[in-house]
Amino acid sequence: MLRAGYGGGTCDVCFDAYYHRMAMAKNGSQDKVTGNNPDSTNIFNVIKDNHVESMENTIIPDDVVRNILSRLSAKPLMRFRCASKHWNSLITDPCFINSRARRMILMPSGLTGLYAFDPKHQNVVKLTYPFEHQIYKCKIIGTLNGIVLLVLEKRLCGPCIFILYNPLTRATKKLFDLPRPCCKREAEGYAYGFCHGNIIIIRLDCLCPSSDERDNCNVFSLEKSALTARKTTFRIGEYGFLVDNVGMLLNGFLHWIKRMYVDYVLIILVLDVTEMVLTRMDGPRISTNGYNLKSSVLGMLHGSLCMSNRWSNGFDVWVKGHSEWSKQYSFALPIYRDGCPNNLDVCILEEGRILVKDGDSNQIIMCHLFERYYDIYKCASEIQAIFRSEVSGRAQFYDVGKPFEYVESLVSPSDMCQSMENTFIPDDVLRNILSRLSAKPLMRFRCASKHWNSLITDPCFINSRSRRMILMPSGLTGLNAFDPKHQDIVKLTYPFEDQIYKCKIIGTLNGIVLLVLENLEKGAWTALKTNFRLCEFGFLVDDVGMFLNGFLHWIQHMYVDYMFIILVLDVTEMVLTRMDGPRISVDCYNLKSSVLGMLRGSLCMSNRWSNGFDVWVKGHSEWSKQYSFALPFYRNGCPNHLDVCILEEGRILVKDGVSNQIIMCHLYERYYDIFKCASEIQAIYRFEYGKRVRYDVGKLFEYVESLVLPSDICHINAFYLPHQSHQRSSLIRPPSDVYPPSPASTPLLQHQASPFTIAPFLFTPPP
Amino acid sequence: MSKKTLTLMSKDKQLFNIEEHLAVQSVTIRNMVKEDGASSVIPLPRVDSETLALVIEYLNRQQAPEEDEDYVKKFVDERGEIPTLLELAQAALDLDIKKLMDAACMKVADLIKDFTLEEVREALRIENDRTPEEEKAIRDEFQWAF
Repeated sequence: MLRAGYGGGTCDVCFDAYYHRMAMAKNGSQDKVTGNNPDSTNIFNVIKDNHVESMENTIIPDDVVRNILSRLSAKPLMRFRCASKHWNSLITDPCFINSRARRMILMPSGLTGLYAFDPKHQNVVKLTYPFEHQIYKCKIIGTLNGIVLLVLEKRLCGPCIFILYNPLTRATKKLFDLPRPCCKREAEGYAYGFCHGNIIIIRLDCLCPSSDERDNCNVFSLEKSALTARKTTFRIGEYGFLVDNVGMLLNGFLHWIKRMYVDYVLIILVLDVTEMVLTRMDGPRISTNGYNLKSSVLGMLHGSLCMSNRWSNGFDVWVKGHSEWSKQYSFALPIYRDGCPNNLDVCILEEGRILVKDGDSNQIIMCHLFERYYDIYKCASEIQAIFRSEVSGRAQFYDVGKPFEYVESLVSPSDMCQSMENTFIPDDVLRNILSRLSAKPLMRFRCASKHWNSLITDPCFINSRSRRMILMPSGLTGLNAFDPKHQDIVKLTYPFEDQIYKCKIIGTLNGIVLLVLENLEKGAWTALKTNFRLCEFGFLVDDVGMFLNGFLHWIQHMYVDYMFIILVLDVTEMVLTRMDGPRISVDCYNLKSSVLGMLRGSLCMSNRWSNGFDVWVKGHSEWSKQYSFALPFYRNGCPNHLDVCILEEGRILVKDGVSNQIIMCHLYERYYDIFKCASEIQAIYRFEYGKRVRYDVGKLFEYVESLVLPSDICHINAFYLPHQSHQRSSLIRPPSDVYPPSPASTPLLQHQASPFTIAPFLFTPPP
Repeated sequence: MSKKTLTLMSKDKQLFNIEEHLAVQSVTIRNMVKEDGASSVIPLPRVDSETLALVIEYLNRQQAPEEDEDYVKKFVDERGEIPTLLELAQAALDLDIKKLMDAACMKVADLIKDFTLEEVREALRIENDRTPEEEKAIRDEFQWAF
C-alpha cells in the first residue's frame, strides 16, 4: 500500500473554531473524508468512487510485434500494413526496416528478370519484375537506399528507358528516355550515386570512332528532376575500352577502369562530375589478359578506391593510397586448386566483403576480407538461368551487368529525393526539443500527430522534463509558481480566477494540486464519527496536515504551556493520538517557521532561531536536532515573517516576505541559493501583509509537472508513484520511516507496513 | 608530437579530415578510437556532407572554455534554419556530442514554441494522422493551449 495523500484540516480565523475539514485521497479506491461539525462531535463523510477499471492488457507489446514482423517477407509485410494504423506505423518506421535489414545481392540475368540472392537465408529469390512480359533488355546500373536503377531497352529499336524500382514495394517510377547511342554500340558509361549531396544518374554516350565530335554526357539530377546534356572535353573511348561500363562514384568523382589497346595496361579514368574534366590515373601494376578482365572491378574499402584482380586461384585487392596503389589483401580460394574458371564475376561490397559468382560450377562465394574466411553457396537448379543466359550462345558477349547489393527499404521511388532528407527525426532529438518547451506549446503540439502525442504523454518524458516548481499560494489572486531552475516566477493559469473564491492549497501529488475553494463542495461525503475533538486545549499551527505512512500529522500549539505537540491521526481507524514535539521554546514569531516535513523518511520539524533554523528529526523515541543551518545575511536576526517549507531531498525553502526573496537551502550539501524576486510577485507578499495579515494563505508546496488528469489520479499513481519512490529510495538509505505514534495504534501499524519496511519498529537514525 | 588525423565519411561518401584530439569530443568517435585505433575511415551513414561540414566546423572551434557556451549559442543562432538545426541535432545524436545536441534542440524549441499546429507540422515534417473529429476532441480538452 502506498503511503501518500493529501491531508488537511481547517482551523478558521480564530483559535477555538469547531469547524474542521479534512480531505484526503488515497490510492486504490478514492476516499474523500470531510468533517463538518457545528457542535461537539465530529462527523466525517467518506465517499468511495469505485471506478477502478480492469487493467486487462489486451495489447501485444510493440517489441513483440516488431520481432514477428521482422521475420516476414515482403508480401505479408505489405499486406499487414493495412491491418491497422498502428501496424502501418510500425512497418513504415525506418528503424524497423533498418533492423530488418535484409541485404540481398541482385543478380541480373538480362532478359529473364531479376534474381536476388539472400546470404542470410542462403537462397535465391526471383524478384517480381514489372516488365517481365515485355521484350526489354534490362540492365542494372546500381542500387541506392533500396531502390534499383534499371535501364530498359527494346530489343531492336526505341529509346532507353531509365526506371527506378523498389523490389520490396514493387513500386516503379519512370525517370526519362534517352535515345540509343549511335552505331548500335552500347553507351560507354553509366553511373548512379551520390554526388555533392544529390543523387545523380549519368550516361556517357560514346560516339563513333569515325566522327570527330566529342562525347555527350547526360546528367540527371534526382533532386531537380532535370536532365542536362553536356559535351565533354574528351573522348572516353579513345585508344581503349571500358572494362565495366558502370562507373563508380566516390567523393564526386566518377571512376572507370579502361584497358588500353596498345599496351594492355589498365588505367583509371576519373571524371570530375561538376566540371566535366577527365583525368587519367594509373592503375595498379598488374598483368592483364582476356580472362581476368572481368574480375577487375572497382570498389571502395575503408573509404578508399580499390580494385580487385584475379590470379590463378584467388584474387588480390589493391587499394589506392595517397599516391600509389598497394596490394593490401590477397585472398586464396582453395576450391580452385586447378586455377579459377574464366567466367568469374567479382563484386566488391561494403565492409570488406567480396562476392564471386562462378558461372561454371553454379556457385556463389562470399569472401570476408577482414575476417579472412569465405562461404560457398551451391545454387539450386532454379537459378541456372542467371548463369545460363550469360554463358550460352549469343548472350556470351552481352554484358548483363555485375551483381549489386541492395538493402530492402520502403522508400518510394517517386520521393526518393525527399526521403534522402531523412524524413524522420529521431525520437531522442524530438524529446530533447520538447523537453525545453513550456506547458502551453507542449499541450498544443499534442495535436500535431499521434506520435507526438504519445511522446509527450509518455510518463518517462514528463519525468525527465521534471520541472519542479514551488507553488506560492496568494489567496485570492491566483496561483504563482517559482521555478528554481530558471529562477523566475510564473503565474499559473488558474481556472477560477474570475470567481470570488478563496483558494487554499492542501497539497500536491503527482503534479495534481488539491485546492479547496470556499463555498464550493465537490462530491458527496460519508460520515464517520471521531473519538476526539481536534482543537481542544490548543490550536493547529499549520492546518494542512502532513501525511506519512498512513498517519496524518499536525503541529498543535497548546494554550497552557505554549509547548508544541504533534497530533497523529490514524486515518483508517480515526484514532487520534498525541505525541510530544521537540523541546523548543516558542514565541509567536517562530510559530510560522515551525513546519512538519519528511527527511530521509522520518518526520522532521523546522524551528527558527535568531539567524538561522534547526531541523529536528523524530527518531525511534525522541526528537533530535540533526541540522542547524545559519543564514549569515540575517545578522541582525531573521524577520518575523518567514515562511518555511521542507521539500524533498533535504531542501528547505524559505520565503522572506520583508525583503522579497526566496532562499533555497540544501541541508545535505550545506549551501543555499538566494533568489531576489522581481516586482511581479510582490502580490504574493502584499496580499499577506495587507488587511488580512492573519489570514493564512497556506504554505508553500513543491510540485513536479505531470500530465496526469485529475480524474485519473487514482489509476495513475498505482504505477507512477512507485517509480518516484524507487528513485528516491535508491538515492538515500532504505527508508525505515515507521515509528510508533502511540501504543493504541501499533497493531494497525504492523498491518500497514509498507513494502520497503523490513521491521516496522526498527528505526535507524539518519547519519 | 605529430597530430593524428582521422577521416570521417558522410552518407554521400564525401571524406572529411579532422585532427584526432578535436574529433574525440564526440563520444562515439572516442569509443571507436579507443577500440580499434580507428586507423581508417569512420563512416557516418546518417550524416550528409553539409551537416558533417558544420559539425567539423564546430569541433574545430578554438574557444576558451569560459566563452564556449556563448560560442555554441552563436554557432546555432547563425544557422537558424529549422531543417539545418534538425540535421545538426541528428548528427550530434549519432556522434554523441551533447553540447551541440542541446544547443541545437534548444534553438529549435525556441523557434517552434509559438508555432501553430500547421506550422509545426510543416517544419518538423509531421504527418497528421488524426481525423478532424479526433483532433477536435483534443483541441477542446486543451483549449487554452491553442
